[in-house]
Amino acid sequence: MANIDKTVDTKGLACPMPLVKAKRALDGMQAGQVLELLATDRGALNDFQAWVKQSPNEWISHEETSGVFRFLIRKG
Amino acid sequence: MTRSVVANHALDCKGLACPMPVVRTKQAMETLKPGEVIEVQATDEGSLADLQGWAKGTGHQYLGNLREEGGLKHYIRKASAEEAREDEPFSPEIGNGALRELLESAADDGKPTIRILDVREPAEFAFGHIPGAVSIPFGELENRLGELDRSEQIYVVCRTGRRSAMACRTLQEHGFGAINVVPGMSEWADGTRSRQAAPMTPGEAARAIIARTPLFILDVRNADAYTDWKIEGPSIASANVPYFELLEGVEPALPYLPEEGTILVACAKEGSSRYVADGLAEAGRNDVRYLEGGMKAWSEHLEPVKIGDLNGGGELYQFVRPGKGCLSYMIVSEGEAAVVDAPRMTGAIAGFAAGKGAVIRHTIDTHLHADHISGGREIAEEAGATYWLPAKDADEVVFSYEPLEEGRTIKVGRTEIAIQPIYSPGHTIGSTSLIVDDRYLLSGDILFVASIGRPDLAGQAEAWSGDLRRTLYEIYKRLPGRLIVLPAHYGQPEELAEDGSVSAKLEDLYANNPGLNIADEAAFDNAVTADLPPQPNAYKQIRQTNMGRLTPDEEEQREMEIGPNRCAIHDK
Repeated sequence: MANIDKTVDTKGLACPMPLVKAKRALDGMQAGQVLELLATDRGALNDFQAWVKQSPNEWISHEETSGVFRFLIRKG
Repeated sequence: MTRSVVANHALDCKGLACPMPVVRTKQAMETLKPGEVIEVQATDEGSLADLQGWAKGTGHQYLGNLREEGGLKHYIRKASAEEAREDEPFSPEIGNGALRELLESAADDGKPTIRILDVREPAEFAFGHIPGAVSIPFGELENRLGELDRSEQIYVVCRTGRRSAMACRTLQEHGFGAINVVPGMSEWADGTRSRQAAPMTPGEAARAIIARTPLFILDVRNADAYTDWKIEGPSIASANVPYFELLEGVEPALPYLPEEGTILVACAKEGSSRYVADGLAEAGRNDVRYLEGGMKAWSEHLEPVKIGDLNGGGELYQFVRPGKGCLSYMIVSEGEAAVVDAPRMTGAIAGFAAGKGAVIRHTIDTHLHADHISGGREIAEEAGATYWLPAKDADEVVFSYEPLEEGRTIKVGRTEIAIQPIYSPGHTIGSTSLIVDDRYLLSGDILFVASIGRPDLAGQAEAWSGDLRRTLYEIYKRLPGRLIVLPAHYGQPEELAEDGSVSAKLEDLYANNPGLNIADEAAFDNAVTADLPPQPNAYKQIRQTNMGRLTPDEEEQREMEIGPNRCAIHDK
């Protein structure tokens, strides 16, 4: 279980805000730190995976609990 | 009391609003010789501070003004070349968009407030300003500096960035940190950006495709989604740049865009396309639109097209669903309607019938669909209508229905528009076509305009390919060639006629449709079983849903239907 350095809660927000907020948060983090993103927008999962794939960041995991997606990303 | 002042030139700026008095004065000044005086007649109260500030900034001498009935007269003496200073833009400055992002991020993270100073006239401020902005009209600024804090950055805004630039200079001279906001309130709308793109409804986009109107689509979904399914048409060009590459600026998309014409930005649901479209508009692109409701709404849009009149005043309508390539039908006659191969957007269908003043009496599915969720049963339940389904496709259904069988004529209206079922297996074992009013052949997923149905979606490709061949090469062959074929799908937008309909004469299809011209039986078997296009998205779950064995919610139904149709053997 990775240590979480920062959490961004985007529950209730629609695209593109989850990604906007996640990017903004990652911009202020150090390489190797872990961001936790919470989102309820279904589209956020695919978008986020696609974005992380083409960014220097690392996808750690995602899970869904009663409609809330939780993503962990390590800043690259 | 009237005074008269001698001026060398008079300039009428009455009725003009900021920044025009300054702009006109500046132009007029160029024709003056140093030392000459211009009289500027203005009605805009803001012109006082503007012209005073402008004169100060440029080195011209503001002599004074006269207030008369009908407005103000300003007197300005032109400076000599040594005295004159260019009224350069103030630096540092910030764009509307960047300021808005700062405001949003400050609001998110609980950072200290961004101090905004609005130097327009009180009336301008009263009719709209940035939330939290402080109002000090430019003319009062020097006397009210005590209200401001030298430890803060002050973002100064006016209507166009000109008055605020002058205010910034004043602030700077007094030791304040000032940043000019450009262009300012003239383009500060209440949305997310200073310039906003207008929406385009799916209906407008559909009609552009039908009318062959050129339209460029910037699809900002993920590459996978774009590759899988997108808006297409003979006059449509598109490019894919995922929105997450455009969050910091639209520059990465610019090389893909045509020089001219409408740009439609599309995403899954709307939000991201709107963000990007506003960014393009802000970057100076004209005629940028975003797809209202996104690809979700596009996948659900129905475009009704009248196919023709029927005996005794009846009408036949086709509902084109461009986002899926599905076609549904409504037969209307004397206040009654029958719906064939209805989509799950039952409200749109019921609404159309109501608009025609018709009560839906029958809903008919030509087969158990695998590509879209049928609305037939739901519409029938709501309207108290009869739901017809071929019995051979209904082995596993968990609801009651009326068996659609050859020989059982269905009537709509008193004038007896006859719907005659013709058993025509192949796409499914139960597939049944309908002859309407002895003129139209509703062929379901058996025969399309440019292709033929595929027999594999119920896992029975080999078993059903013989049925499909018999239907196409024997049963249909016996029908009159003059029948107009109206299928349940189309594969390419090129199949849409000028009026947006999809149809063809049966005899013409025998001449031109590749699926009807495979002489060799083995070659036919191979064509309809081997090397088929991928199956429609979630086709197994869609079949289960249409059997009543799965009951997904609306969001899940939408997800299941996402993607291209692929019911024909040529739908690559």
